[in-house]
Amino acid sequence: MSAVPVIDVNGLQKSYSEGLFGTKQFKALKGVTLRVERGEVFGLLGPNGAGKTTLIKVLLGIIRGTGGTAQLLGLPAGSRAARCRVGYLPENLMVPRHHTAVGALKFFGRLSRLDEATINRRSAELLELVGLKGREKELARKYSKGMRQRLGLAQALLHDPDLLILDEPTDGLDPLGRSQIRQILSHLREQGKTIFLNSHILQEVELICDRVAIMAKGQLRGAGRIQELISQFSQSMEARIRLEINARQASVEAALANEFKAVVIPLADGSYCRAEVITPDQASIDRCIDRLRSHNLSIIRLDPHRPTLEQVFLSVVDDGVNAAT
Amino acid sequence: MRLLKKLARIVFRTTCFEPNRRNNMKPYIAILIDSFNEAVASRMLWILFAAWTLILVGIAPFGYVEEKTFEFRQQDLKDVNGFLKQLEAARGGKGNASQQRVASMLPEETAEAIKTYNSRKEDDGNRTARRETYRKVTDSLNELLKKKELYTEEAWPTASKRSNMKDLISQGTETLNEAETQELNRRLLESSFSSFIQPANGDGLWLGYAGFKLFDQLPVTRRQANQFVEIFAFSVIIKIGLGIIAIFVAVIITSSLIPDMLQAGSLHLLLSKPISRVLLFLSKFFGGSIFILLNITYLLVGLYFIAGWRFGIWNEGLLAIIPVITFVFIIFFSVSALAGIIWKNAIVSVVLTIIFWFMCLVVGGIRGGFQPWAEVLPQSISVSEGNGELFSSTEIGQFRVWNNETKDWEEAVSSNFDPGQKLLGPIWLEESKQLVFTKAGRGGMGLRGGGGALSIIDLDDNVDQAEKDKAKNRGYRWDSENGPDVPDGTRQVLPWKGTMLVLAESGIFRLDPKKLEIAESVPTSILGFSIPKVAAVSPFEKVTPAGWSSERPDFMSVTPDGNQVWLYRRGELEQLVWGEKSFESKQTVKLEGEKNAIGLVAVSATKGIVIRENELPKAFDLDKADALQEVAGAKIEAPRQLWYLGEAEQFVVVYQDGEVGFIDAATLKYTKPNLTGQGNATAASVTKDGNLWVAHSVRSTSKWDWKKSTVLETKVAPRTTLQWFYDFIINPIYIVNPKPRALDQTTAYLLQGKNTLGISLDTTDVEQSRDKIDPWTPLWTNAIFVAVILSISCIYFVRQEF
Repeated sequence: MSAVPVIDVNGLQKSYSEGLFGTKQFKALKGVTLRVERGEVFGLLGPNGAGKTTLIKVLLGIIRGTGGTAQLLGLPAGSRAARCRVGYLPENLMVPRHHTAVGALKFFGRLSRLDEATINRRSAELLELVGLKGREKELARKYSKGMRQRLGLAQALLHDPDLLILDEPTDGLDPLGRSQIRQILSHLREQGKTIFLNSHILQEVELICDRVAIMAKGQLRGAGRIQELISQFSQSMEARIRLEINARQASVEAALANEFKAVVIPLADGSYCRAEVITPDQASIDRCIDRLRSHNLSIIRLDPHRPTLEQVFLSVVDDGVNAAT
Repeated sequence: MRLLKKLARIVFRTTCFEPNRRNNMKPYIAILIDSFNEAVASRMLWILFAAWTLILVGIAPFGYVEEKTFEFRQQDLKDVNGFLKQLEAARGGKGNASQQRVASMLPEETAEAIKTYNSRKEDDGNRTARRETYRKVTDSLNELLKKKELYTEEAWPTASKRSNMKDLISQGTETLNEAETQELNRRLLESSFSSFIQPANGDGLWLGYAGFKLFDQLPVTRRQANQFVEIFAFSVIIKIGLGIIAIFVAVIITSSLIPDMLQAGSLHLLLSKPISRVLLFLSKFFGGSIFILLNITYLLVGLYFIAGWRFGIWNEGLLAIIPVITFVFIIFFSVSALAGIIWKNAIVSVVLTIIFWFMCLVVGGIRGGFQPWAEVLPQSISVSEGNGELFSSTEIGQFRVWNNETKDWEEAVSSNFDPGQKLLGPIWLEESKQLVFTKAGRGGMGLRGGGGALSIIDLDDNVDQAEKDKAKNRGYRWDSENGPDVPDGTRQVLPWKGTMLVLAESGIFRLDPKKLEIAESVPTSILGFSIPKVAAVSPFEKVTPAGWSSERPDFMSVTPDGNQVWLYRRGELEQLVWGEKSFESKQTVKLEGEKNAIGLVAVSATKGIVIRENELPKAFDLDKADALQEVAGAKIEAPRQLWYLGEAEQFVVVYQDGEVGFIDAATLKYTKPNLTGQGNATAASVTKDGNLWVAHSVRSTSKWDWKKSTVLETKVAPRTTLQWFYDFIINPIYIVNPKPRALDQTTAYLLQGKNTLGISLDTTDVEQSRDKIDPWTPLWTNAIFVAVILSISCIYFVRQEF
């Protein structure tokens, strides 16, 4: 593995002028620092307006940053040399109306300065890979959204880039479409491609990405492997256990009253229930079990509660919002 | 400066190529190819192709129908008045046997009409009745052409020996078919009335559609008809079909090109590719022009083949204007693209482009409306000296004299010219101290020739000062009086042996000053016009041989001693030498080339120069006029005026494009003096002291000492209010404003290959101003405009954060 990170962003800032005379400044990126290593599938998470697309635009040179630095493959982000080595799938890809899949690949291949033989060879391979073989001569405007996204992926891969930047690749797709894209990305991961994935669909990111970063309000709120992130954020969240008890809700509430903070929900016909109890440490877990047992209540199941990525995300985003406000 | 450096750096950074990288232009060529594919895939393109195909299929059957015919047309009669008098006389038993035979075979009704016509007062103003008589006579003559019994040996005893008739007569008139009878009878009529009937070559021309004749026989030659097709028909198709309709449609269709490219899903992908933004924009822009290029190419190539196949006009200019029309579109498209890149909306692009179009039309229209009145009509088309005064006449028909006190032109006489009438003269009659002039009308085919009264200004010092002051107070210098009528069809007057020579249709006339009688105005008037009393004896004496007549285009020049007249007449050069009382034709030289080309001739005592449109000037010795020598260094352009400078075999020519050149007939050298007014001259004349007055630049007249190559003085008339408004307000706005319509000049030049454009179809009036064609200035001025707009667009595209 090369020592040079594929993406290396340090204190990146981007401000836009606003207002009639451009006197107001809107900060879209507030000192973002990020590294993506070769062979990684990296997911960038964040709500709408978090600054994810702005970050991608800076990386691709579509817009210029107003502070900090950004490098792709050791080259200044946005430079023509860097762009030669990047494949990009934009959000809401628009293929010109007159293009077939083959025509579109030929056009984008020429834009990437590929020779005709390479374009033809790669097109055949990629159409096979993205599952468009057999329909490559149809006009792209007649394709479904999923097919268009797969064609977009094919064009992004056409010049065999070192880095693939995908902006919301599964947005607006049905479950089958998402699954197809996921399969292609998994295949690419196996091939060792570096993928930078921008999405707000957490399930996707959780399934595909090695590492993720969460952005909110132009700031990077956290980055790392998913498990690390969850652990990291679990620590800051109140620890709790989840119990299933063979007793009625009122009995459980009565047993835990005074000493524990708990939420009790009746299950099935109300003959048993589920309780979520805040237990900051092991001693309080022991005490909780003792208390229930002392009231002759049978514990059917006990789980230490682990936060999901979604909870981490929401927690981070909430913090971001609170921090911003 | 810093800003400029920054700008240069941005432009360099965004456009420069990487030197070590192959296929630098590949992406941009790909965009152009893609634009071509997009255009071909466009449904609109095929709809337009279908429309153009329908138009081409619709016009393809048009063509000429050429048939042998000897039928009379009105223009075949040279001197109608003389012919009708001759016919009436022949019917009364006068004239030779053939004339009597013809007259006797005319229907009674026609004979009566001729009688009535001949008994009318001269110039009674009843043109309708005159035209009706002409029509009746030509119809009767055409009926006569069908009659097998017309020919009798008694009437035409020599006809059977004439080469053009003997074969037909030998066959026996009864056995001739309809066409042969017509030909024979026409030849018989021509031999009977040779002075009045134009010999027919039998070539009849009709406009046809799929081989069927449309309308009557065309009154023009095939060359003239082709000229019409090239000047007017092509122009309508190109200006309206392509210049307006095709470009308008293309502007609408391409308006979405740039906004579509700027949509996030499309633009971000393009910008992520390793390509320059400037070249991306420019490739997309020029790629958008492919749509119109395909349309224009299709229509013009179709038109080229149809014009060649059906009319025999293989004009490569039609193909050469394809890039010009595309460039006109590019001008509008540059505005549309700039609007698209700023507002990212196709509708805004179309609306702004139409506003721009409208603005160009309004500015161009206002300028076009003012230009004739500020620049063309007030310009001098003749300048002359006489009695110490400087005279000029203008395109609009003003006769002016320079006022040294006010330093301005003033009307010489009360303005009684009709719009478009041309002044002939003035001629200064030294002996009688009179200034005489007349006027000639101009028609669609050039100078129609005069026929009105000779106007006389009496400049004798004895004329009552009070009379002069009276005229002055009325806004003009002198009162003129109506003299006798000049001969019919007068088109040129020249000073000659103390009096004047008049070139008219029926011959050359000299004015006898002794017989010059000033007619008194009749107190009564008809329709508000005072009627001059007709002189009892005309002072104009015909000085050409009997039967001699002139044909347009014609122009005469007189040797300094007045003993020779040299005439350029319909492709021929004729020398007439003065005898005792009249001129005798000495030699005629047929010039090579188009006989209908207008031309000028000027002669010194030993040498002459003849200049014809689209040819180099040719010099000749008066003794050996058939040995013409080209003045190789001169230019090929329509001449406007040609004068002998009075010494050293030097001649001066004023061309329609404003150039003044000197021709040395001895050495065949052409020089172009670099003096005030060069390039803008409209008239010149040689002064008594051997200098040259040159009228130029609308308001100026300069006196050139041509021998020393200096300007002695320049008289500049002050601007009129209209000219001031034009020079300081309208023209500056026009100069700054883009001028897509000015490219019409480029297309006109490419179609016709001429630097000047006649106002009329086939003008025979050399002095009439022509539109100067400036084919290249509109190209670079509009190119600057496009470059500026595209630069703004590129800078915006590079700087904008999408």
